[in-house]
Amino acid sequence: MKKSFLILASLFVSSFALASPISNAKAAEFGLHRVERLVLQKKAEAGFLAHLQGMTIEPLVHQNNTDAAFKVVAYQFAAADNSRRKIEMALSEAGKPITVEVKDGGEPPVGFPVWPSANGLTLCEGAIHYILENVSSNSKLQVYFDKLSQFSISAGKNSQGQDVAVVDVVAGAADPVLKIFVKFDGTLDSVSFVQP
Amino acid sequence: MQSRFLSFIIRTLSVVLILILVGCNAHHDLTYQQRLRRKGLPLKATWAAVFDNIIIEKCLECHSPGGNGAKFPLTSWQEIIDSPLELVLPGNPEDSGLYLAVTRTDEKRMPSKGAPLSSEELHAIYQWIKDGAKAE
Repeated sequence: MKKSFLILASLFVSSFALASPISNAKAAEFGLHRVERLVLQKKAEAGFLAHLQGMTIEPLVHQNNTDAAFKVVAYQFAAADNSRRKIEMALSEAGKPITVEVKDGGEPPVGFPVWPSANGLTLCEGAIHYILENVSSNSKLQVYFDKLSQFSISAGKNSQGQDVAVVDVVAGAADPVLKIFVKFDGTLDSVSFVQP
Repeated sequence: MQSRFLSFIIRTLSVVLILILVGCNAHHDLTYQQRLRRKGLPLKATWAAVFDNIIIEKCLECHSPGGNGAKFPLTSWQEIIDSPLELVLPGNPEDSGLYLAVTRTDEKRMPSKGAPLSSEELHAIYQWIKDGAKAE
């Protein structure tokens, strides 16, 4: 009887107390959604959709679940003077924004990739969704789900030589770079792993 | 005598814990089922009317377990209020993700299937959030 009580008590406590922080990949997804929302609200300029180059995700040491748990920085392609427009965010364990700061920089030059259909942010979103939606069936994605530290987008070609967007996803320094090839409509083309 | 009393206390607490655990797990489904039975409420700026007339009708096909949008569930008031996406910021419809999602004009507008929400439906959502997004 005592044993049953202890098991039930453990279940009761765990159902409330063991809310774990989101993964780095999920923080990246929330970061992208926040950037898009800031543009919709006209609190950030539309270049963050068209000219987004990438994002960094840094887990932060924190005490409480309402403290900043992630520093997320979205950045555009660099201007001629090498400055970049950025959005710096602090997210809680659940992914809620705690602080958001839009930082000015120069206009990206005309050389950045011009996406013919979906914008750069949507293409990046397609790549992050690939990780989130396939991690449960593909163990090779687990390291990117847990430790994604940076991703960046560029124009490239798939193995058939077709034009696609390529999102390079970095986890740890020793982990292979996950290259996610995304069609211009935002759907997945293919993936490959490249040793650093 | 003392051990019988202790045994009685443990049995009682176990039953209470079972009831609480079952109750917690059933909470969302129960709310959802209860709401489904209340379809037909007139469209007003209240949670019940917004949920019954708009969310059940036009959102839950995707934004409920098993749907394409299940990772952003809209099956209960609590889930919407607690969403890390800040779907609803009470008193502030312009910055609420739910209102932004249904009023945007690009290909990501919600609902993704079918026609955009009518002006009456948009007004009900707007005013419900403006009035504090209360649960009743």
